[in-house]
Amino acid sequence: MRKKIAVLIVGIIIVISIILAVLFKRDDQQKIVEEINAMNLPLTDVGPIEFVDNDHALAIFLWSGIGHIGVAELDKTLFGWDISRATSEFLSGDVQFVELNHFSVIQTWADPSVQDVSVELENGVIDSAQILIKEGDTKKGEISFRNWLYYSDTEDLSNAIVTTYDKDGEVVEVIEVPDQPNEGLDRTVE
Amino acid sequence: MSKKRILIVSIILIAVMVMISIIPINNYFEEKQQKQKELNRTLSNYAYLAQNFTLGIYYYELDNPIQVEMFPTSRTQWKLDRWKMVTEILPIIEYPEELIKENAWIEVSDNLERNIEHYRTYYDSKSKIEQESLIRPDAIWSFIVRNSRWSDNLLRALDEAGIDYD
Repeated sequence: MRKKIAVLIVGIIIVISIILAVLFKRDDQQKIVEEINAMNLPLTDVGPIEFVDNDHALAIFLWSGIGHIGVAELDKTLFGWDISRATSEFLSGDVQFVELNHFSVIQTWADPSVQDVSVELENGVIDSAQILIKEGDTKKGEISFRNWLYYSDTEDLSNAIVTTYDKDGEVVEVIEVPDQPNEGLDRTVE
Repeated sequence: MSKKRILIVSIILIAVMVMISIIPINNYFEEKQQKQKELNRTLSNYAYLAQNFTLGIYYYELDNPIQVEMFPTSRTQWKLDRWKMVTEILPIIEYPEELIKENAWIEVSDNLERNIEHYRTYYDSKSKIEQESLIRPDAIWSFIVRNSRWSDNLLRALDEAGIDYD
């Protein structure tokens, strides 16, 4: 009899702790937004987040109104997410080609008409890039994002040719990726 | 009697031990908070610089110690051009070419702020009537960093010097 009661009590405790854990679990999306906000950039607006796998994520964000655009690479930790590397540039509309911790990333705004994005690497490999969308809450003054993004942890993305297509398969734009990532890093004023 | 004494002594001992252990724990959290504040201040400073001179930032490390590199963007030159224009009409404002080339943006920004303060001392030493025909110190920063057009005296001086600021 006593044994039964003990088993019952242990069972109840386990069930309650599982319920509590589920209730108080903040989702990954939320944790990543908090992490980017902690960079203390004024008026940060976190855009779409791409979960590469269980342990890695890439996030696009704007800050200073729409003056600057950034890409952050995040690693999963025991309790949340940590930014391993990030970069921010002036929002010019040009393709952003950056090398972060594990990943090389190319991304920029996708025109509303763009439905398909194809990436041809310098070694001839052809792949398609994803279009990431995040609807912003206009009441909160958030911006809606529609960006195409392509990344790799093995391939060299230098000199890749990106072609965007509309719904009829017509070419919208052909974009040449620069030959060096993080172009700005070595840049100085003339 | 002796039992009571043992009880009292042990309560005091426990209380002392608790006190001793609380102090380092408290210190630890205070230190941690202090460090976080410092980190936040450093990050905000970089953001401020990046906004003022439209710079790019590459974050190598966001935790202790923060490690970033700043670089000019396509928009930076435009602001520096305005800075150079101001040096032509106000020689007290210098253009720290070497620092700018080295991407030492913290020092670059400090340099401009310091020179504006020097000019402010000069400006404040003048009478109200004389000040009316002088360029206001705050107008310098606004013109370079914010593209502000509210100082007639600054724009007039540029016009007179034949400098095209549009």
